[in-house]
Amino acid sequence: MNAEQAKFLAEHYARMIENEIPTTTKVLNAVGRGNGDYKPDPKSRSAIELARHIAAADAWFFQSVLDGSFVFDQAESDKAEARLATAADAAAFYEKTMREKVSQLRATPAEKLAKEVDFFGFMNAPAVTFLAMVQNHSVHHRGQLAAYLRAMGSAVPSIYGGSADEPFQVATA
Amino acid sequence: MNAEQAKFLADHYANLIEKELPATAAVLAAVNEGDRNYKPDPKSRSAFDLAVHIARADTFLIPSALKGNFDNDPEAGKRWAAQFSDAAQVAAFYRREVSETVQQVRAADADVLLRDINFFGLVTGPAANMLVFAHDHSLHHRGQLAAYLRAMGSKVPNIYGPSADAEPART
Repeated sequence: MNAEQAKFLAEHYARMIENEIPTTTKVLNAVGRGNGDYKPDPKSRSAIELARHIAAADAWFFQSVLDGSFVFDQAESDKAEARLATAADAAAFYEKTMREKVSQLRATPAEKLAKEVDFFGFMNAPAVTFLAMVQNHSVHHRGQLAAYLRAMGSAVPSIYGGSADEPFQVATA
Repeated sequence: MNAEQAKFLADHYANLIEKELPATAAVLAAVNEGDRNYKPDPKSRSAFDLAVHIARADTFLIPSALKGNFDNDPEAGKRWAAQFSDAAQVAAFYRREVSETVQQVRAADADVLLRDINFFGLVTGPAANMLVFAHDHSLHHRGQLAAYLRAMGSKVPNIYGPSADAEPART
């Protein structure tokens, strides 16, 4: 991947992530309007655990891309999630942190974005391509969490279109 | 977006869709192992309806973007959905058809990818950008469906890492 392609892909994901931040923030906040301890099965994460995971893991993943280095520390990850006591904490942290990282991404030199990085010994690829993992991981877990919301007594906000709880509204002049 | 960027983006998404295909097919197939009529709330889609929706969208949105229009006939969609009697059929269809769709994306000319297309009156943009929406829409609904699986008596396959239901590695 050349520097120009890396910059193009970085701007693509900057816009994508920027567009998704309000929706993900709404879903995280919706956890606060229901039973946060709800889980569909004893083996599953609870709603609040999933909300904390989305907020903390997305931030870690994004920062790793910006750093050009993936180093996972379970104790640090646990601490990061523990700092998010409530769903509102997770939502506020998510919104602020992700917006900051989008700005940092836009300021990152193309050569750094194009540089190959190692992903835990599984693969090597240009740093910028791992933004796909940031986005995909987030959309995946947000989808899971959205499926919890009604069962836990909350409501599903519009995500990629209106929901039965928040129908799509056509803007009128 | 210029022609080179459109081809680059299409290849990027073709690779992503191809990588996600086995996990999505595994989640669709898992619906067969539990109560396919399960829904977490009366307002929600049932597991089987959600599986069919994923298959329908993933084999409609991208070919439509490449064709240049989204002519969606709800009645035709219902007739299309009726071809499936169980989720195993949906998963098999998905594996076959999405593999073919990925090849269509890779083979698409830059002028096709750059052509502005109207998405149901909501937004107009290059066809290449519609691949992005199709991809994320798929992951979103697969995440939802994965959250149904244990509650409906099935198991969650590995998606972005090991699931608590995955069988331990044999030594």
